[in-house]
Amino acid sequence: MSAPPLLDVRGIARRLGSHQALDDISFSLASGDILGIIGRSGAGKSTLIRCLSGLERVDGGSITVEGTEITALSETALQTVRQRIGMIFQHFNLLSAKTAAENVMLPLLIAGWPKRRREERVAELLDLVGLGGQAKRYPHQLSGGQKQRVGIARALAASPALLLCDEATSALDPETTTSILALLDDINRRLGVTMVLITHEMSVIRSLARKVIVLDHGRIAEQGSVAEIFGAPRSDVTHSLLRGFRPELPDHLAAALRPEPFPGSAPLFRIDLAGENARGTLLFDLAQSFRVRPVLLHGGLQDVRGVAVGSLFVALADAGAAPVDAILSFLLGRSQATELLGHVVPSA
Amino acid sequence: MLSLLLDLLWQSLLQTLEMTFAAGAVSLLLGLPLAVLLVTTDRQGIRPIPPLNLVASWIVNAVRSVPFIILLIILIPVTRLIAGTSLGTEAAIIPLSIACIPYYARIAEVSLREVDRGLIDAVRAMGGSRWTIIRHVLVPEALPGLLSGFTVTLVTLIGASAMAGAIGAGGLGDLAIRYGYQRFETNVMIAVVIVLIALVCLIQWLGDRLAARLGHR
Repeated sequence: MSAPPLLDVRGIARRLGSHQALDDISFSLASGDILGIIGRSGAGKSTLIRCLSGLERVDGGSITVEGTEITALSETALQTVRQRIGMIFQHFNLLSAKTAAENVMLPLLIAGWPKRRREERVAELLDLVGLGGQAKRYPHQLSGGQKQRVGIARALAASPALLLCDEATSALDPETTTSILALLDDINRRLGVTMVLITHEMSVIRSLARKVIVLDHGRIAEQGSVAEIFGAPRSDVTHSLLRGFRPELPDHLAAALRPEPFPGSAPLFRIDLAGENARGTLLFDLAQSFRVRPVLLHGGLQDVRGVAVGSLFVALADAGAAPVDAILSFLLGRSQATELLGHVVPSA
Repeated sequence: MLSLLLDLLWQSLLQTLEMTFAAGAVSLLLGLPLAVLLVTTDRQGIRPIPPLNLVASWIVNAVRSVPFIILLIILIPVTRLIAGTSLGTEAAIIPLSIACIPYYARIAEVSLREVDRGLIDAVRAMGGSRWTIIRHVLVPEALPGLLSGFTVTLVTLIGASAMAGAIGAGGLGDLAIRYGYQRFETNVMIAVVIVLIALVCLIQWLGDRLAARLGHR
């Protein structure tokens, strides 16, 4: 499996005035994969996706789509490559003077499809996105979710290899967001379309992405699989973006935490788990190996794209004799990350 | 006497309509492409050509800054060259058109600029050429505004055509000045004003209806 990547980004940079919007961004994406790019507003997400679609030029580096380096192309040559790239937008960007069907048909007109095939394809796409009966409606007659469905059908019309989603669900209510994300996931599975989505919402990443890039001030702060990012975030930005998505130590426990052991105290560990090690006999093994009593004070596991990911807050009672360093290295070997938070009175 | 007045009114109305709609058609046909040129060659446009944009903009400003009555006189040689004469209703269509092309171009330019950039991006992102963007985005999305602007232009042309009476173009304005003002026939003046009001209301009403029908917002 060493097929060339569908999308290969090498050290791209982009300045907007005196502001370095993008700096040394590199990544590659295999065909059929889904990459989520997350960051706070102003992190450079929009600029990045506009560069990927060739809507904006880069100042340095290269972007290669299906073996064609788009950064070197003229505007006219780019037009052909862009037919291989679909794009959906936060505010849908549907043409208000055209019906749903006419909007979906435009990329096919551009690609020069004959009339009969265009009409067949449009009907097929509207069915795919669940809008079979809405072909003749104008965008203003459709709900936000329906508009985005038209946007998705339009983006997929000319069978692109790459689908770029620019905050595709940010203007939608939670329920509609869920249905649009499910639709995109379904399209990825059924058609094998490679996707790059940018968002500021971790929930979107959790339900759709397989790989994640965290952007901060125009640079990649962190990248990895979605389970790695949720399971053991390393950068501060990721931690702050994940607030509310990962179990945190409750305030009353945090307040009771002391840096040094004291009579009756037990060391408290934060154990970040993902995948295999979240399903093991970790606590049992810990009790067996070190003759301690693991007391579960807090924690949680969630399913992230089929991988169990989460954190446990475990105090080790009766650890008086046990070497904390040895326990820590044992835990580090069995988890994504483990941290000794301090010492508390275990309430059990 | 009444039948003579009605006959005069009818003749003048036809002349006014001829000047207004002929010059209106020319303004639309040439003013709209000029507006598209002004928008697309702009620094932020889809085909930036700043020098061309500057020249086009300067010409538009130059023509628009000359009062119509003066333009009418300046253009007499041009009119004579094209129409063979500088007198009469048909001849007046030429200076009226030349005055109204930049006028409509500026109005249309405003509507074209209001088209959401996101829509242009969407069509660029699907591989659309500049021509596709003009044909499928800029003009259709701005259509209600382009039409309202055209209505405004027609109404302005009705007013301007009155001045064309100065070069013997006839029309309602000419009738009002010659009979109503110079011969103190107040009833002619009143009749002309009533016809003008009715005409403007009718054009505005039709324009508004058409713009509303074409707008899908």
